[in-house]
Amino acid sequence: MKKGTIAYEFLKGLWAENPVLVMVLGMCPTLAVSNTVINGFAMSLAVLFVLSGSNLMVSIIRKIIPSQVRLPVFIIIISTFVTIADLFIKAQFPDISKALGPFVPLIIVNCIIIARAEAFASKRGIWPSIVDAIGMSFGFSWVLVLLGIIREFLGFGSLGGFKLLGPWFTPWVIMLLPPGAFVSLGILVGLKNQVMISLGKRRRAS
Amino acid sequence: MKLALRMIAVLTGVGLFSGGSLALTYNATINRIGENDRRAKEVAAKEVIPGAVRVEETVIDRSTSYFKGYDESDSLVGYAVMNSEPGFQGNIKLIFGVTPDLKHATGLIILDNVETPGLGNRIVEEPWRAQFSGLELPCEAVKGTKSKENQIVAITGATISSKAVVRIINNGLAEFQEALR
Amino acid sequence: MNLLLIFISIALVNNFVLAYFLGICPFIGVSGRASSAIGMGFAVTFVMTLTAVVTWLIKHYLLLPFGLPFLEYVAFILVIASLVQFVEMYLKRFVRPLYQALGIYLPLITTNCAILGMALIASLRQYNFLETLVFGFGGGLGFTVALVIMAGIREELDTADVPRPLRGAGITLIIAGLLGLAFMGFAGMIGAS
Repeated sequence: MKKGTIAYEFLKGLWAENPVLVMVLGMCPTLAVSNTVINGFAMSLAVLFVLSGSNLMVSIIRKIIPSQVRLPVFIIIISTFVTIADLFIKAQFPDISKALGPFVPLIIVNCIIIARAEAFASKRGIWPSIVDAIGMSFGFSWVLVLLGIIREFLGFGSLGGFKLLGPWFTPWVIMLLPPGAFVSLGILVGLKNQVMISLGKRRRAS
Repeated sequence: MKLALRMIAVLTGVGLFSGGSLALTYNATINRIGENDRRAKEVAAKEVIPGAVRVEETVIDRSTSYFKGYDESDSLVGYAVMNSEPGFQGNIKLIFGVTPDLKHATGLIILDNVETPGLGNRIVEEPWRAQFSGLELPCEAVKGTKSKENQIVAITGATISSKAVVRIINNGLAEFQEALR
Repeated sequence: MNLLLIFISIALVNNFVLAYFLGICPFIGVSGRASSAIGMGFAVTFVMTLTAVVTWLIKHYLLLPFGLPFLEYVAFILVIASLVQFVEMYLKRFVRPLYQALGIYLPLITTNCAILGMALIASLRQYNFLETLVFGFGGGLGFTVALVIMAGIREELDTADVPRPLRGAGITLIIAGLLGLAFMGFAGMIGAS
């Protein structure tokens, strides 16, 4: 795939430059809200909104920001979008807001967002910036939701709140607790590396 | 000089945009958010006071408040006390119903807790909470089987969480009685 | 009593890194050497305590009296960012030795979510001034403890034969999981009365 095309900007976030698995950014929310599928999904939507909003704004005003004050400007823009998202979730989905707790406002310091503003949106046009935001959010989302699926399935024996396994199943409580989150994500990162290594080997062999 | 002016202009502009859009969003959502909070509390209060259709909240302090429950004919049918204190891992916030003579509990709902899922967390489960309906107050938690009217059976493997719930109820009741006086 | 409870709770039982997942980025990035872990830990503790004080004052003397609670997040993150700058400038000018010890870690702290997380959680729980102070200090110490233990383990790991795909982030996360498991042993310290 060619660098610089729209399709590339979108797809790189999903795999080659996946924010969680490759760049190891935004770990805090990834670990904290992936205990159930629904929480992971809600968090993903919030990140999608904030990242698109901030990438769009930064890209629009990129030419008039003096570089000395760009970080404060990024921070104000990001925290504005985060507050909007937070107020909206609180108003419309109080239960989800309670489950996510302080992790919605913590999107502000999610390194993914500021890294994309700095590394991409402040240098590129509006369309690539939005596509980049969507790609990165999806890359973040699928890891989050996959982790949610693993942890909820093993920890509750359910998916999305529906009980899948009968009473014979003893839930792995540890999966819902912090250690379960750390170990699952660690194994996921390892698996991704393993896939990359095998792919690289095959390419060299052929 | 020109650069300084531009910095100030950009920062002011971004600040205005941020403040403006936040003020708009805040005004559009604040009523709804307050309403959600109030409704969540009231629904819980009505659930633990049998027969209550209307409740009135009185705040005692930061962690404790109580509700008066009234039925259709506007006569007092019971109270609900909301209290939060440390449990096993962090704060447990709960609300429990009390009969008008303050002698019996009429129900219990755990609003917030961070107890261990699958163990301490089982304090939120219905069968265990059902023990609190009609329980004599102040109460205590025992292991195995209950022998007195004011006892509940602690969850196996989560004795500390169970005892914490009992303690939070008793302390809440004491604070409530103090406030009523 | 209550203050002690908050302190133990945040420093050990509900450790920022191992139970709340805050400050994972520096935890994985900086925890390679014990000496740098200690430096980072103290820098974080210092800034966190200061942040606790300043954000509390801002919230109760600026935001609430003027009816601007919705500016909380914006105000907090700006306060943290400028606080870090000021601390850095002050140390550089007046406390040279401390600057040489902590200096390189300070810029990294702005994006340390443990700091903002601490301010937000303290605000969410409506702690009073003293409680917020203790919460910030305890949180910083807890972060330091987790970071230093991790660095100690990682130093040993240098000589271990880790499977290739797990090298780096993977094995660090798994170790963090085991550490979290160990720290769960502290649970019950606050409730067992």
